Amino acid sequence: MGNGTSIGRVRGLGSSKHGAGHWLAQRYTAIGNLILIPWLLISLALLPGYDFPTVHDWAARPLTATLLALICINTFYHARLGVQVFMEDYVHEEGNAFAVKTLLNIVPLAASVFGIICVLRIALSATTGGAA
Amino acid sequence: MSSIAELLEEASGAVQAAVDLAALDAVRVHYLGKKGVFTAQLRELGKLPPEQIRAAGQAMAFVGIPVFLWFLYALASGTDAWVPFARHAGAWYGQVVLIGLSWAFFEHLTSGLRHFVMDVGAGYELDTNNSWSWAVPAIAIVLTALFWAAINLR
Repeated sequence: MGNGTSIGRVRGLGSSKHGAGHWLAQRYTAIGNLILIPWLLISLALLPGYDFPTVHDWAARPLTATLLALICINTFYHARLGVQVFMEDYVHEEGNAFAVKTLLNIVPLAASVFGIICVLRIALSATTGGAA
Repeated sequence: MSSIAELLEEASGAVQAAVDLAALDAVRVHYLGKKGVFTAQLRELGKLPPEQIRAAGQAMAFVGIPVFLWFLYALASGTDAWVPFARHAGAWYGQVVLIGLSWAFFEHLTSGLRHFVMDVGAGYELDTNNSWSWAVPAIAIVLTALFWAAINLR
């Protein structure tokens, strides 16, 4: 099936011709994560405390907010690509596969937008009085 | 690897058949020695692609991202939302989740770097690959321990 015959192509069998792009996107976003997530972990580890004003003042800094927003884009997209590959490997039943594809085209984008809105709200809110 | 059950049967037969300690030792060397049958099977494991990267990645996608979004939401919403988040994060189960997530991250990071090396076609020699297959999870555990030591020793 799908051996280059016209009906096979019509049915979309065989390569989607976008596999390499997906593979590369996963690597490029991985390089971004290689910077973003260690930065996040080190920054959190270096905070003097985890009370609201301390963490909020840190997150509201322009550079911090930028990097947090980039996590919402780059890391979430990397996760979406990874979950897609995982689902393609393990979800075969047609109805479930369709449901998964639909969710993959809604949930990650919604998560990114929600995260960015939160970061903007933090960054643009009045500082709580720390040395921001 | 399909013959492991047969090997096991063969090996237990050989143990039964050993009449003295010297014979038993010969059986041990044959199956578990440096060039033994089981040892050879175990060395095959090192040639597998690092599958653990997937498990760690899925854990972060389905648990890590919701926790991260909760963190941002709590910070964006004010003290009333932050206090319960901080309480759950500081409770024993929250710490278990956070330690698990950090471990998943370091596991994903180190096996991801191993992927990068193998993607460029390096590190396929049996010994190299074999040592990376145990070094990668070991490094991940060390990094996780260092991270939590840094947080708790501030």
